[in-house]
Amino acid sequence: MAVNTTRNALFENRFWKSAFRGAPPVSKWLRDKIFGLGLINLSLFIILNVTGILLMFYYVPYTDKAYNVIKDFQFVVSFGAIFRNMHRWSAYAMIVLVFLHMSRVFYMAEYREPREFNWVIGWVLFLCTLVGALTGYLLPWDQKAYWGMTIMSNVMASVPVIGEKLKFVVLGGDEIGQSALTRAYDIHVKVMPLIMGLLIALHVIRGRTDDLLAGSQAHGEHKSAPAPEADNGSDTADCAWSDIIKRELAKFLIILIIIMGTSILFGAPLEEEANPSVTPVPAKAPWFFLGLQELLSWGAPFWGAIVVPNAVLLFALLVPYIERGKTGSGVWFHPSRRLQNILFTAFVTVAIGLIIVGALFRGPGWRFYWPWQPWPLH
Amino acid sequence: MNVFQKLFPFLALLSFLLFIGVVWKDYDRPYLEYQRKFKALLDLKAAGASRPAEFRFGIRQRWIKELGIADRCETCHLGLEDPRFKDDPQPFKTHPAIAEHSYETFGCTMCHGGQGMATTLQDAHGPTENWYRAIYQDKFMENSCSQCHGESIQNQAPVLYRGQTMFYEYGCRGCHKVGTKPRTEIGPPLDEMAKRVKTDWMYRFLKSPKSYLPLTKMPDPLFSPQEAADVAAFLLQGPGPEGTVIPGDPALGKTAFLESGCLACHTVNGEGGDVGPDLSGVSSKNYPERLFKIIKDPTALWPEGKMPVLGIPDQDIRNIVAFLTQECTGPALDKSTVAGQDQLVRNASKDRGRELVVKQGCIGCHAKIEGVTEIGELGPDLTTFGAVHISFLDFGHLKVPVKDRTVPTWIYYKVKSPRIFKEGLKMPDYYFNEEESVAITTYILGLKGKEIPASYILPLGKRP
Amino acid sequence: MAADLFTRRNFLSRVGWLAAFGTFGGLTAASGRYLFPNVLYEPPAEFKIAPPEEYPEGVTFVSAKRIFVIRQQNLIRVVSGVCTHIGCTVRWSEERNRFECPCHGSFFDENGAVTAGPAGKPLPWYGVSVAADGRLIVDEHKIVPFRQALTV
Repeated sequence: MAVNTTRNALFENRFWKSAFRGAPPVSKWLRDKIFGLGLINLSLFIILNVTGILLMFYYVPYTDKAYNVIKDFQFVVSFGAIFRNMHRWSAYAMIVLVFLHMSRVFYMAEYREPREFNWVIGWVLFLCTLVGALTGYLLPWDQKAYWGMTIMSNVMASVPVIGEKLKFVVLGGDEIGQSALTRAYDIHVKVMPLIMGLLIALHVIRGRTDDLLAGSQAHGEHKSAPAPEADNGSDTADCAWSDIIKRELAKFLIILIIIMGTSILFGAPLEEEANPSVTPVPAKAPWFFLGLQELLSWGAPFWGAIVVPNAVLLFALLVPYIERGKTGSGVWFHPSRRLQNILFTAFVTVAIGLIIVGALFRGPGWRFYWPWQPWPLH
Repeated sequence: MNVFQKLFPFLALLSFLLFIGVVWKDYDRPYLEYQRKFKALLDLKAAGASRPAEFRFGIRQRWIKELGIADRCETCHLGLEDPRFKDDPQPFKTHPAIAEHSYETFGCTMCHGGQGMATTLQDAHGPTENWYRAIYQDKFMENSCSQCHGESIQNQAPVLYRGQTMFYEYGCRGCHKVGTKPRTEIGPPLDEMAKRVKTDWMYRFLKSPKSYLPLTKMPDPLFSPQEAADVAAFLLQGPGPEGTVIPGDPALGKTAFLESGCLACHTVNGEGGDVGPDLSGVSSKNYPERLFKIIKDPTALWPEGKMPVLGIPDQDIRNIVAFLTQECTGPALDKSTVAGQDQLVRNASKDRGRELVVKQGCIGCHAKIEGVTEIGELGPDLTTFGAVHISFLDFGHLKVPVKDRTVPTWIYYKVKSPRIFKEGLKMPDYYFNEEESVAITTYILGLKGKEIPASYILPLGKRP
Repeated sequence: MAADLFTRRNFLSRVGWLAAFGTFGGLTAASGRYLFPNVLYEPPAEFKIAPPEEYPEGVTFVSAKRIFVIRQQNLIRVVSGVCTHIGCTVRWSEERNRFECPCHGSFFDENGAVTAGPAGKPLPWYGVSVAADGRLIVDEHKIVPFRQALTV
């Protein structure tokens, strides 16, 4: 048939077949697995890496050049503004979506045996996302970057015992200058992508292993019987790779559409070039750490910046080892998990609330202002 | 079939559409419109020439390594170097001749300010949130000359030069530090005022210096009546005039006055020179005893002053004093007003007066104030004020549109009307007019403390 | 009908793949365009030198730009001073009436043609014109053929 000629030409020639020789058929697991937020995060990770690599062709991590490069992106590099915007918005989106993914896994109690370790890997990935975002935040070398880093490095310094040394090694010195920029750049473009790439691969593979160990094919179906089908004893599904690819590519495209649309409409923020003698009033941490800064404003840095966040992180890490419930896995909001879900929701609400307060309700001197209240100019 | 599989074609199409949007967003640059207009004009001007006008669309950049600038102004300002465009409107107009300051060496933003790296109008000209400096209005532009030429420029930058001259003539340095420039007291010393001037005059002068001496360099300290009285009381401490002057003949005095050449430096009733103060109302100010001393030996009283010893015989001096006392009384004053002013000063508080003198910084221009010697910082240091960041400048109640919230505008308002922003400000009012305010603002804007690269410094005697 | 459905699904599928390839291909092409800078942080290829009156008869070396300005009465041409072998700066020898490269011994005649040595290509002539302000503009991106000189 004429319809198949293109298909034949593309996929029945020797070159293609030599490349994909021995590719396994689609497994039942792959057919039935629902890739949701995890896939979205992977899509964002891919977009970040591709746009990041492109941005690296122009960006130089020198304090007297970095800001000018961002201006070049804005004005003279073809598609520079778009790629930069896509990079920034994908980064912000990824923080939110990684958090949502983690929440989803919690609500469905999918961290229980045999999935505890995958939860740990996910926890590490969440931290890597934050570190990646924080180091990336410094690279434009504008006021936001400089003063945001000032706040963060001072938070680090308030860690007991090792605080000062921690700040010193992170900044590569006592102040935020060339060393800090070089180190942030290294971590941002090499260390984080490398670690995250490996961990993501591990996370997905381990996820599959766990699914097979747990005897379930896809979440949401632990309790229900598998779909009645001719059980031919093998785990091969009668499903084409192209269908799988279309399915997942569609989700990737949704993300790409949203990111492209946002990037066309909204420029990534940029303030004036970093100026140590002009402090913005008030100086605010990056939005994803604003909750921390808000917490800090309530009391001693030791408690607000060190004890509480670390306790929360530690607790989050150990959730699968602490929570010993047996029922409710794979289902949204199972009644037997009411307490856990309420506690978790409360925590999430507080965390988001803190960020909102820090972002919209704080003005000069970190005093309370309604969002519509004008700030005094001096 | 899975819902996503079904959606795939539509999502793919949508993403392709957005990709087209991406391409459009990047392609449709605002500067292209200007370039098309310019090309049309260029074609018109080149009509009939043997070869069609060559024109390349795209960004034009001047990158000057030593100055660390990359100016893209010529992307829209395309007719800069082409004399055929001298009558065309901006942005295509030919730039005035600047032979020694070629674009290759200096770029544009070094003189004009603005954001050279931008290629859109609002970002390039400013003010914009993420650039520290907007383009200078024409009237302030000469401030850039001082970056390299410092204070050695004169006729070539008349506005700047005028501002510089005025800044020192009006004694701004008395309160505002500028580099290592020494303080010069441009006002007379204030010792023994009770021996020199009448009480009511002191009050009136403090209340409004220009009402006595329209050309005075002394600014208006904007005292309330009580404050003026307090300061007068403080300054007028001590014994009154000593000795007496034997009265002389006013008519002979007038002759002597004219023959002594006083009018070469002093004005009386509209005639004369302006090296020394206007004498039209001098007898409302000084006691006759003092006038005698001044004319006999001015250098004893004020060594730094300009009035020389004239060697006039004593009798003539007495006559001149009589003449001045009779004729140079200034505008007529109501006796009860004068009495009231005297009374106000007599009842005023010397201590409050001293506080005011310290607070207002009279010592910036006047020496020898009894009991006031420390010279702290009276006004902000202006050494690099031209480079101040706008976030440090408070417009107070003044309603200024966003596009004018720039450093030059703030300085201009401050110089012209120092207390306009809000209450509690200290700087006195010089009543500068528009032209003077622009000149002084230009000078202050030039005080940037910027270092220029060594390759841009021309050794003395060499031409570029 | 089964055949219709099949065709429509197939059609949609193909459209989908086409659009997807269009998007990714397009983004790749955009990335490619992105890699070509629009502005260069280098000394410009088109630059001004002194007005033609300031160049004497004969060969003048402009060291800052590695070019030779050659005047014959009222004809001016600009020849590159970069040896076409490996790139050393050649010297003009008045006595021997030729350009000589100190690195590997290439010689070029007064027109830039190779007379000896490892160099294979002649020294290019750069486009030169007179600017609106009277100075000469040299355009290193415009190579002009031999014999085409500027009349001043």
